[in-house]
Amino acid sequence: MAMSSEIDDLQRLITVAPETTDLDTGCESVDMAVLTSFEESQLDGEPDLVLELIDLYLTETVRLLVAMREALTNKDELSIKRAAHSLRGSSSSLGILQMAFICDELERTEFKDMFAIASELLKCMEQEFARVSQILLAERQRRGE
Amino acid sequence: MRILIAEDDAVSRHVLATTLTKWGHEVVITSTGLEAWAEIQKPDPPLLAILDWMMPGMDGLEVCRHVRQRITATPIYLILLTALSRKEDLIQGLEAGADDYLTKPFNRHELRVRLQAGARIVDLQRTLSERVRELEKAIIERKRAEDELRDLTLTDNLTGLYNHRGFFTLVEHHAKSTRRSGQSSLLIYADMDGLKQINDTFGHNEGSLAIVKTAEILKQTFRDSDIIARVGGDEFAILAPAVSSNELDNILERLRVNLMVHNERVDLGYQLSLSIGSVIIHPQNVLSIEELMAQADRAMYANKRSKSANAGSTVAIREVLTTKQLEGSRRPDPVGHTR
Repeated sequence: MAMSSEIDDLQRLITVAPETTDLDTGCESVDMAVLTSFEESQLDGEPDLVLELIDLYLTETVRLLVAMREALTNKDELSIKRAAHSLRGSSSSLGILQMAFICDELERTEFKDMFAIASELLKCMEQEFARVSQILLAERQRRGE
Repeated sequence: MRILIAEDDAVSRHVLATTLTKWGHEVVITSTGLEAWAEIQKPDPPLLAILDWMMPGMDGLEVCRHVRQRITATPIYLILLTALSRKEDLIQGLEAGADDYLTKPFNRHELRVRLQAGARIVDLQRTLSERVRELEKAIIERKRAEDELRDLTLTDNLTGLYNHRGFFTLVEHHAKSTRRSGQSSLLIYADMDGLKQINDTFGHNEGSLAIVKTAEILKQTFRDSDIIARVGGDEFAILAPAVSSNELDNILERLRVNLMVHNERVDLGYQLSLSIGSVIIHPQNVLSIEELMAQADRAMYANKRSKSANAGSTVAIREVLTTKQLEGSRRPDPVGHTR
């Protein structure tokens, strides 16, 4: 089933060991000020917006990372870049800075040696996602699910 | 206001939709350019759209181009949402037809003021198009009033003669009094020869002048009490009351002479000439004015045909109707007049 495979993917991705990556930009993984600023847009009587955004981000990111992995296997440059672009958009919207930065790198990578670099960057993304999801899940818990 | 958003990234889409809803806008949410374009084509679409630039399939730029190719009374205000921030990209976006742009991740305050600017333009355009609609309506009404007024006039602007409507109105009125008086009257149908050639060769102004000159000659030929009208472009009709059939030749001769004198006096490069059909209306006549006109018209055409058959001579044919003829023994009496 689609749902259980998504959960498998999530589980697999967040258990990637958060080793230090080659790309240390000094960016925070999650800028909490950006994320919590969405409280301003909270609609009365609607579910907690920040929680919704966290869930949406986690699901979408898993989907995109899986898609990138697949596209890399198929040497499909356009799909990789498209997914990286989407992930950059959602990451930067929520203040998930380091991830946005890596996505930007991947989007800028030129065709020559693209796949070797993309492979490295994707590994970075997966590691970064493990870190980000731990932070987001903690925030989710703090908000009392 | 109603705002259309097109954004393929679910997180950004949710952020945008919630923010706009929070500000009291009604949001129409789409996740591809194609869906957005479909919304725009529906009747009464949102007048402001926020479009993500990069979307699979039809992207935001393409949506902008499609929107701008369509002509609508109230144009849609388009804001491009883009992660690209190089100047060339922005220029490309504006060239495609975007009114404004926002770089992602958008700043809420910036979004708010850009929306305000957009809403101002949308309001202005809406007011303007309403005003244009009002004016168009007023123009149509004014035109209708003018048409009605024109329908009521009895005279022809160009020549000052009666027009078609004027002629028939007066002739109907006259027919009644003729029956009482017991006198016959003369109905003439006259058609200018070669007006088309005059128009083609000398221009329409000269053509109009020829019509005016012809009208003057008719006025000069007939009595003040006769009803002279321009009933069509180059067609004239005359009703001369109290004329007996033996006066017809005199009248036609007078017309011929007047035309000749005019043609000799002024050299315009063309000659004024008329084809004429005539009908004597007897007091006992039972035919309607339309039927009498049709007879005069037929006689005029016979005249025109015979003229073109022997070019150079102008011939008038008359048709005399007597009570007997009306009863069935119709006997045409063509008489050739050479001018």
